[in-house]
Parts: sequence; structure tokens; C-alpha cells
Amino acid sequence: MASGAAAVAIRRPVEFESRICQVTGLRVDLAAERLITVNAVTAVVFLLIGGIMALFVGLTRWPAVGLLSGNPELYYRFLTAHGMNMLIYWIIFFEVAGLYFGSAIVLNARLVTPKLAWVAYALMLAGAVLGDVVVFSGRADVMWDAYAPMQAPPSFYLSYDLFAVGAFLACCIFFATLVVAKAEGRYRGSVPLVTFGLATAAILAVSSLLGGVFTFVPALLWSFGLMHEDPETYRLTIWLLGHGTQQVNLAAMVSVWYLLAYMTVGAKPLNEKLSRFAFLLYILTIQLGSVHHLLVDPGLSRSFKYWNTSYAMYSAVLGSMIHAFSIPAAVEVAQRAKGYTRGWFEWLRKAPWKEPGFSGSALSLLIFGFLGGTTGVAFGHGPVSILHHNTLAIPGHFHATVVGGTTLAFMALTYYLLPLVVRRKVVGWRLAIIQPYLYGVGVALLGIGMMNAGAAYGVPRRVASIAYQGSPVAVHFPTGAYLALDIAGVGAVLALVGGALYVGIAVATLLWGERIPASQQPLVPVASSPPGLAALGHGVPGTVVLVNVFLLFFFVVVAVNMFFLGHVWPVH
Amino acid sequence: MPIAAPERIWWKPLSRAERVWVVTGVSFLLLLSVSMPIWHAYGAADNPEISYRISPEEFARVAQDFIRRYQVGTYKGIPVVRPPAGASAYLIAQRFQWSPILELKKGETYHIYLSATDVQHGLSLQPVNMNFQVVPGYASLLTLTPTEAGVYTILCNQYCGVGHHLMAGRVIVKE
Ligand code: HEM
Ligand SMILES: [Cu+2]
Ligand SMILES: [Cu+2]
Repeated sequence: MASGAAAVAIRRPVEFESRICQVTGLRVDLAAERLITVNAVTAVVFLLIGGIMALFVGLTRWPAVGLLSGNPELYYRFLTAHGMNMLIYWIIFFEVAGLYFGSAIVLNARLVTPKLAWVAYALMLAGAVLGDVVVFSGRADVMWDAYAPMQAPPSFYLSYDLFAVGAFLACCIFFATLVVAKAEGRYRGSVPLVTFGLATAAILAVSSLLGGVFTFVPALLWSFGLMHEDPETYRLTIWLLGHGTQQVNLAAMVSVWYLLAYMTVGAKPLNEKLSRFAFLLYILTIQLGSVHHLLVDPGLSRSFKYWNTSYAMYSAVLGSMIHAFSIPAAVEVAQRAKGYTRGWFEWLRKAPWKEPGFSGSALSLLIFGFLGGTTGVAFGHGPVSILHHNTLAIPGHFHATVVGGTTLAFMALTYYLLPLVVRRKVVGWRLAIIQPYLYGVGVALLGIGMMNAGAAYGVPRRVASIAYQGSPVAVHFPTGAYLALDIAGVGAVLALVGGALYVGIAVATLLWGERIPASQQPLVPVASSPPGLAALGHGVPGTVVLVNVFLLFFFVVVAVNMFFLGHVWPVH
Repeated sequence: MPIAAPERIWWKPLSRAERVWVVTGVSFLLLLSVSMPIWHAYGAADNPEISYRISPEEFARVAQDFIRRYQVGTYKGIPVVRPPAGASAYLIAQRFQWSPILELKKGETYHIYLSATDVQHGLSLQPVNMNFQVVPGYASLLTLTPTEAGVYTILCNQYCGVGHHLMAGRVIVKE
């Protein structure tokens, strides 16, 4: 760890059961290790459930297949389950594992109150199981967001309340671990960048969960008939939760990018001040910027909507643009220091593309930035929302962010957690090498197809079929819409295969992976010596080219949207 | 190393490339921010600004009054209504039907009050591609000017129940 004088403890350090990691030299709290493993494994189980639902959802929305088009009730039930199992259970269980890793393990510290961490786990699990039981038993075909006044039974809202209390506890344990680690002198100075990023995620999680309290406690009372529920207030508060948690995913994903860039090529943050400032922007502004979901809603003033999207959302976008520069730049510097200095891009060509940790996070960054980020900003631009609200373009956009971005980053990280934390050799490494490509390309096509169908042809989201057979008026979508949905369908199949590979590899490794003896180095090529800042003297020409290409693309996406907005009927 | 404590003093000046990128990013995002008020001033289509609180029963009552007053026909059980140019019009979303079918005149501006009487719905006017949220208890006022004659479809794009994918209606624009 940090060189120089020993850390100062202001509190007598408490001993804990641990081992020393042979690769990183980190001191691993065994209690934390167990909690990380169990939370991550639980996450993968929910990913599997959500993934089976994705099979039905993806193949129903591909009109050429129309798997459940003849059984809309089941479609809506499975879509509700898909949203809940993926967006909430898979992502958040994995994030809790990440929080324990980023606090106890990274800081060489003990996880405080592991018992309470098990309580948090039990609450989350109870909430998730209850949620799935209610939904699969057909009592809540309401979608994950269950917009009032559409009503679900009390157990549905209760499941969210239980899950939220568990997640809140986990965040508290994370903060307590940071405080105690400092007091016990486990680290000196500032926390490492990855921990800082995860702390950002945890702070955002707590503030999002407040939105959850404002939504699901009244909703629970309302479902018992004890309270009145205003539908627009419900929308406002659920998006404090819904938008906030997406930023939790963002901060966690960026932290994983920094971590994997280090683990795979030895990239070291070039300017801690800049990277931390970018995280700080998330904390300061992002929580406010949740009104881009409500731009075409009644009940809110236009100036509030615009202030909210421009000031609050764009400050956070600046944070992401900073990371989009500093991560590739760090990789470029690290690669150039290894001698890959020819031209603009030798460093990129010679990057470890066969290392799933690298390819996974590189694809995650590309998909998130180019497909998810640019469209998010464009769709969330005040008036542009008229073009996309509730069309298939919206799930298209967020499959690029939370599926191509966050989920892929978490998958990439898993290939490192398995040898380092679970201490088993990854089974089927050859398949692991192609998994990020299959999944990444699949999700990219899925997102592009859905965005195209929604933005250009107005194909709605959350419909079991677009044939409109049995509706009073005939509806025909042009061929282009079907073509776009074909692209999405092919993408869905690729992504499903990629996702199945991931679950298969993870489960096989857990069950049958060769145990790695403590003395033996796992298969993780951690770069030996991270290059110093001095290397920046050569500049980062490749990164500068990349970010300018990105900026140009960004501009085009926004301009195309403004162009289409100029062609709709005048309205105000 | 992102997983080790940073050097003791990590508050360091940015390199030139970093400074340039931050300034570029800030400028781009400022441009986007000011584009909203500019669009509002000069662009033709903007988010509807005015909305009212109104109980679903009250809305249904005034909308039915409106339908009775200007009804010119029926299409598959749905009233077809032709409001005078420049008049107020009402559009009701209800599981799983839009009512009435509005017959508008090209180039005229209408004040369309939009609400739902049961759950939330989404108004999606196609193929013009304009989308608005419909929330019971609130009426959105769309001040709308159809610019081309034709038969248009309105879909529901906010999940409203098991017949959601069948909820389609019409808007007719005449020369
Ligand atoms: C890997 C394969 C996946 C496929 C093929 C897939 C496909 C789809 C499709 C087609 C929709 C839109 C359905 C509609 O609006 O009618 C959808 C919705 C959704 N997906 Fe996925 N998805 C996948 C993975 C994921 C993952 C990993 C996540 C989250 C981390 C996720 C989160 C969601 C959410 C939150 C919705 C919205 C549900 C709703 O409208 O209530 N999906 N998915
Ligand atoms: Cu509807
Ligand atoms: Cu609907």
C-alpha cells in the first residue's frame, strides 16, 4: 500500500480472520469474502431468471417470431418479471457485493458487523423472492414501476420496501466500514479511487432509496385503502428512485472500468483530482435531474423541466465525459509505457483484446458512451422528448446503458472476482474470451434496432404485438419498422447466447472450478509496474482522436433529433 | 493504482489535453442547455406547458358534453367529432379505447384537452410521431396545429392493462 510511515490508528485495530491475496497483496477479510461470494452468486441467479424472461420478451418483440403475442397476459407478466429481476435484483445484489469488496477488501480492512450484513442480505432476498412470487402468481401484471392508479396487491409494494431496507442497510455497512478502517489505521490519506467511486454510488443509493420510501410506503398504505395516491406525485417520486438508481449503476460501472483498466493493462488514473471531481459532479447534481422522464407530463411547469434537465442532468453528463476521457487516456499511457508507441493507435491494437476483463470493459465503455450516453442526452433534451416518450426507443436507450454498459462491466469483473475472491480457476476460459463480444454485439444490435423502431416509426414499448388485430382501427407499421425489429431480434438472440454463456461459466466455475491454492498465482495478469505520470509528456494523441470522434457523433445524434423535431406538428 | 490510496498530495494541475477536453465538454453542454430556451422561442413544437387538475368524473362529463355537441358520425361505435376551427376539443383515454375520433382542419389551431378516466395511458400520434403522457386527475392542454391532411393513428404507449396493445384510435385531418 502507501509507502512511507505506517498508518496512524486512532482506535485500537480489531483483529479479524483474513488471508493475504497472492496477486494484489491485499488482506482479505474472510467474512467479507463470504458475503461478497453469496451476494454475487445470488445476483447471478436473478440474472438467470431475468434472462429466461428476456428470452420470452425478446422473441415476442421480434414480430417474425411473436412468441407470446398470442398470450398477452403472460407477456405482460413476464415483462414485469424481466424488469424487476434484471434492473433491481441482479444489478443491486451485484452492487452490494461490489460495495463490500470496495470497502473491506480494497482498504485491507475488516467489514464491520458482518452479522448485520447477513440481515441486509436476508431482507433483500426476502423482498426479491416475495416480489417474484407475487408477479409469477399473476397478481401483479403491472410492470416494475406499477404506475398508480393501476394497483398491485400490498405484498407487491411490501416486497420493494423489504428490498429497499436491506439495500439501505448494506450501504450503511459500507460507510461504517470506511469510517472504522480509517479509525483503525488500515489505510493512509485518501481512499483509493475505486472506493471513492463506490462511495459515490452508495451516497446516490441512499438518496435514491429516499425516493423509494416516498413512493412505496404511501403506495403500500394506498393498497390497504388507508391513503389517497396522486398519480403524478407517484411518477415524480418513483423517478427519484428510478433515475437515481441508474446513476448508482453508472458510478458503479465507472468504478469497475477504472478497476479493470488497472487489472488488465496496469492503467493508473492520470489525475486523481479530475476523476474525483467527475464523481463529485454525480453526487451534487444527478439526483435532481430526474425529470427527463416527465417532460411530456402534465402537472409540472416547463421552466422546471428545462432547468432540471439542463442544469442538473448536464452537469452529471460532464462527469461522464470526463471519465470517457480519463479512462482511455490512462490505458493509452500505460500501453505506451510498454513500448506500444507507434502512430495514434498501436497502444489500442496491442491491448489485451483476448482478456475478457479488458474486452468487456472496453465494449461496455463504447456501448455506454456512443449508444447509451448520446441518446440519453438527446432523448432527455426538453422538447425532443416528444419524439420518444414511451416508444421502443426508450428501452433501446437503456439496454445500451444498463445492459451493454453496467451489466457487461459486471460480467467482465466476474472473470476476476472468480479467481481472486472465490479462488477458483475459471472453467471454459476459451468461451469466456468470446463471451463479451457475443453479448456486447448482441446488446448493441438490440439497442440500435429498438431505438430505430421507436424513434423513426413510433413503435410503442410494452406491447405484446404490433399487429393491432382486434382493435377498432387498423394499424399498419411500414416495412422499415419490421426491419428495425428484425435487427433487434437478431441482437436479442446473440445477447441471450452471450448471457447464457456468462451464467454457464460462472455456475460451472463455482461448482467445478479447480481450487486455486493460496500459494499459486491465479490466471490474472496484473501489470507489474504502473507507469508514472511522466509518461503523459508524450501526450495521449489516440485518446484525443477518440474523444473527438465521440463528440462529433454526439453532436450528430442531437442534431438529427432536432431535425426530426422540426418536422412534427406545431404544439405547445 | 485505483485500488491503492493515491499519493499523499493528489491535488495536481490538469494537463493541457485534460483542460481542453473539460472546456470542450462544458461548452458543448452549455450549448445544449441554451438550445432549450432558444427552441422554445423559435421552434414550433414544444412540451405542452399548461395542465389542469380535474377529477376523472368531471373530465368525462365535459368531454361527453363536447362529443354530443359536435358529433358528426360514428365509426365502429366510436363517436366522430368535428370541432369548429380554433375551438377546444377533448380526448379521453380509457381502457382500451380513445374517444372520440377527432376530425380537424389542416392549418387550424386546436386546444385539445387530454386526460384519462381510469389509469395512465400514453398518447402516440403516428406517423407524425408525437408522444404525450396521459394521467388521470390531470388534463394536459395540447395547443396543436395539424399541418398535413390525412388519416392518423393514435396508439397507447403507456402500459394500461392486458388490452394495452389493442388500444388504437384515429385523428382525421381534412384539407
Ligand atoms: C440479454 C438479453 C436481453 C434481452 C433480449 C432484452 C430484451 C428486452 C426487450 C425487447 C424489452 C422491451 C419490451 C417491451 O417494451 O415490450 C426489454 C425491457 C426491459 N429490459 Fe431487457 N433484455 C435483456 C437484458 C436485460 C438486462 C440485463 C436488463 C437489466 C440490467 C434489462 C432490463 C430491462 C428493463 C428494465 C426493461 C423494461 C421493462 C418494462 O418496460 O417494464 N434487460 N428487454
Ligand atoms: Cu392506454
Ligand atoms: Cu396502454
